[in-house]
Amino acid sequence: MLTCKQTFLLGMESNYRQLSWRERVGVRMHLAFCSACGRFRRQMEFIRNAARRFSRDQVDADEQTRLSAEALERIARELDRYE
Amino acid sequence: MSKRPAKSQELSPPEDWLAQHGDALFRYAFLRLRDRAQAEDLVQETLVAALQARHGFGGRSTERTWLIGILKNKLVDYLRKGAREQPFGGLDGNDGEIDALFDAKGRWKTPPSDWGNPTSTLEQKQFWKVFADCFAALPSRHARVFAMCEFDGLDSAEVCKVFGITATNVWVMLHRARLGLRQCLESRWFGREAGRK
Repeated sequence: MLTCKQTFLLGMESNYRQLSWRERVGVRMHLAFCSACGRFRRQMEFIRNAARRFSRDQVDADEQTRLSAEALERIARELDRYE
Repeated sequence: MSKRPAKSQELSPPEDWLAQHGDALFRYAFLRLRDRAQAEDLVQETLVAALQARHGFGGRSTERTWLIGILKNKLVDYLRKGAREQPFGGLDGNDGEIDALFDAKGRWKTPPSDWGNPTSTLEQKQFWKVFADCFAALPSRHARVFAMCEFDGLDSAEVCKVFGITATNVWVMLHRARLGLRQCLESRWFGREAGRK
């Protein structure tokens, strides 16, 4: 039986290499019995969805993420030169 | 309220662009670069390029989408150039972060908690503030890879090309970024909720 750590590492490696048949079966077996690892997978899935939504909705939770007054002025000056 | 460009997808006067789109362009660049000065420079370059290319605007997209498209190209060029000048190098050596999650027998030291109903979490405004903070706290090379993969949906082969690193390194960095977010969300959002119950 694989440990949680081995399952975790194989899950990561499966992104960039083909797992062997044995490894795949091991991961499945482990996940069938281990609720902690199942919750970990759901957490990772949650993060992926949240990230997608974060960029799609252009979430602006951080008020600081805007151009500073100085930057606005500098860019406006620069654009003037091209008009 | 900001003026929207006419429905016929014509460009608004260039002197309005900075006021109408400046912050959105900045936010787009800042989230992916995580450096204010660099993000400001890219906004400027984008608007200058747009000014020079405005007569070629075909009206197939909105003004905002058109500008973001120009910015996206500038951003990829910028990252690619940066990767050439200052290669990512190897991975940062030890897997201490991963080792720290498990005990000697390979079991979770702190078993992952149940994060409950994802949909209702994503509806909460406060959550996004925490998410933004957690993203801001990631090391910037992990965050840049995460942004390209998860915000822009680029596949690992494309990300490899931009940063000049191997697919394995892309995945390892992506994974580290996810783990960093997980840990931060667990302590700053989900842990707090559990404490309240």
